[in-house]
Order: sequence, then structure tokens, then C-alpha cells
Amino acid sequence: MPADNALIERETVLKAQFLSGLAGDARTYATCLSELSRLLRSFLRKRLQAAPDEVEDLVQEVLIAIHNQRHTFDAAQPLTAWAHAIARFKLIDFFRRRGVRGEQVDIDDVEDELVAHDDHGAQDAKRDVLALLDELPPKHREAIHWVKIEGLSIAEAAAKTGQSESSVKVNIHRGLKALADRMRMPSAQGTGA
Amino acid sequence: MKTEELISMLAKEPPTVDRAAHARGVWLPLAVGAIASFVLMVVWQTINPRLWSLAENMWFWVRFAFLASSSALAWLVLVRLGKPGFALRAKWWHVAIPMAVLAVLGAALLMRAPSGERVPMLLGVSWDVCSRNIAVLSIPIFLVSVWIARQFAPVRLRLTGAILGFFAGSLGALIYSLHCPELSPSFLMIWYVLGMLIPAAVGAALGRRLLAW
Repeated sequence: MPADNALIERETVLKAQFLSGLAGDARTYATCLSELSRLLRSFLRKRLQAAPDEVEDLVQEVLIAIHNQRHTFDAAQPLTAWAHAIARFKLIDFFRRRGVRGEQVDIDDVEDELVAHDDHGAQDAKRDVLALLDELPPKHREAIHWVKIEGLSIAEAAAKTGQSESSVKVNIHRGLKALADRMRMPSAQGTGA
Repeated sequence: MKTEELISMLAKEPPTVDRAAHARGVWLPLAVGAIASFVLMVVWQTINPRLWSLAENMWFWVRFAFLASSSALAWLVLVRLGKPGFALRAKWWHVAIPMAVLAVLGAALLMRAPSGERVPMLLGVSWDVCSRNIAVLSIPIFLVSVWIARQFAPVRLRLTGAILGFFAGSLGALIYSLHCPELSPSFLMIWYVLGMLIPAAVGAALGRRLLAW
């Protein structure tokens, strides 16, 4: 079946990109996240038909989760199954935060991998991640700002901030985790643009 | 911020994963928890002075096998529950296999025993403190296990909490067994299992709150 072959092919490509990202190739990592965001958007849009303007926020939340938890990916499993489990978890979490009882929401899929059936473009996110970054503690904020926004190397950022290189790395990691926590807070809903 | 901008932000530095650091983040706290629990056992309950002669008894090793296999299986399931792609099909009931075997053994021994010996087999000399002691000794391991699980990505929080608690209970019981003189499977299948299930119930109840990410 050609459709199945296409799925397997895509899984193979995505997984190879993700793994080479984990091995240090930022370019293919970005390509992989980009393709994953397309699959996520389609997956979430189908399940959030009552709240279409929340889709992009949730796509971003799942992407940050995928990045933060990337060390839990095991090369023995399909990447799309791993990403699907994270997306599903974040979707249930979203419903729970909104006060929708999990049992009333159909989140169980026939396929347990991410499959895109349609492809709409990205809408604008309601929540502004940059605004959330501003709320982080200064150590986290600075490390993320210099490395992630300005694109400095870890060594350059260490010189700028007076933090050691390893603490720059740790602060980026902790900052992105704190960012993910803030995205779950009710006060974060609707802030920013 | 647009999603494409977020992606290029996430991919700005090489997204390398420091496997050694993550492994340290697991084994270091685990060692701390186990040592804390051991020290608590020594100070609070003391190591059984007859431990060496107990170890000559076959049933000592049956008890050891029960507790060690329960701990190991719970740990393996916990690790799988921390990996999203495996979590949905993790065979969590595997952790109950040692308990099931023990229960069959304990029940068979009870049935074969003369009726007058059954109650002493069930109650031993410490039935009234055993479960509580195990639950208390599991606390340090429970705490570090929460810390460890939070570094992973559990997508079934209640179940992960329960397995985490069961792991803490099993390892706590293994440590307690260096003090405890009870070797009868009929005793273990009730009071040890109860002690191991208390932290499991706590973990299930608190899982969503403790492990959300």
C-alpha cells in the first residue's frame, strides 16, 4: 500500500533527522521540528474543533515539551509514536486545565502515531512566548536570551553574563522547563499579543 | 512569537543530549535515597544481630528473591513509563508477578500446616509493626524517585505515581528485611505486601500533582 510506504518513509526520515539533531546537528533538528509541527497542528486541529484559536498555542507547548524531554526518546522506538504520546498527554492536560473531563473527550486514536491528513498553515499563537520568557528569573532569562534569541555560542554567552559555560547550559535547560510550566498556568492564557 | 521562530530558537544551540549527565541524575539520587533509607533502618530498627544465621535458612533467600525481583520489575516498568513512546503499552502488571507467586506459596504452606500453626504463621512476632516500618523506610526512596521521575516524561501520571510508590515500597522492604526476622511466605504475603502497597497508593493519589510537566 503506497500510503503505508509513505508513512514509513516519513517516519524513517524524521527519525534520522531527529537523531542527527541529538548528535549535534541543529539544522536538521530544526527541519525535523518544523515537520513535526505540521503533523502536530493537523493532529490538534482535528481534536480542538471547538477551540481552533488554541491550536497554535498548544502546538508550541508540545514543541517545547518535545525539546525539553528529547532525552527520553529511545532510538528503538518510532519518533512519531513518541511525539504522538507527548501530544496526546499535552492535549489531555489542556482539557483538564479547561475543566473538561477526560472521559468526554475522544483522544484515543486508531493510529498511535502522528499522521497528517490535511495541512493548513499555522495561525498566529495567542500567547506570546517572548513575553513569558521575560517573566523568568534573570539567570534563566539571560542565558536563553543570548544563546537562543541572539544566537551567541555558549562560550560567548558565558562571557556576556558572567556565568560559567556549564551554568549557561543548565540555565537554558531550567529556563525552558520553567517556560513550559508557565505555559500551563492559567495566568499565561491570553497574555501577550 | 510565531511557531517557526520558536523552532529556530529551540534549535539555536546544538540540541545535543548529555547522556552521562542524565544517567548521573538517575543513579545519584537513587543511591542517596537507598542509603538514607538504610541509615534510617540501622538507627531506628538496627540490623538483625542474627542476620548471618537467618541467611542459612532457604526461606531467607526466598524472601530476598521476592523483594529484589519486585524492586527490579518496578524499576524497569518505571523507566518505561518515563518514555512517552513506550508508556502507553508498558506492561505494568508485571510488577505483581512476584506477589502472585508469593501468595500461591504462602497459601499452599498455610493449607498444609496443622490448624494450630496457621495463626502464628500469619502473624509472626511483628505483624503489628511490619507494614508501618516498611512504609516509613520507603519514604526517602519515594522522595528521590519523584525527583527522578520528574526528569523523564511520564504521560500516565497516576499509574507512574503508583509504580513509583511500589518501587519505593519494594526497595524499602528489601532494606527492612535486614532487620526483620520474619521469613514465612504466609506472613510476607500479607504484611510485607501491605507495607509495599501503602506507598503505591500514596503515589497513585499524588501522581498527577507530583509528576505533572
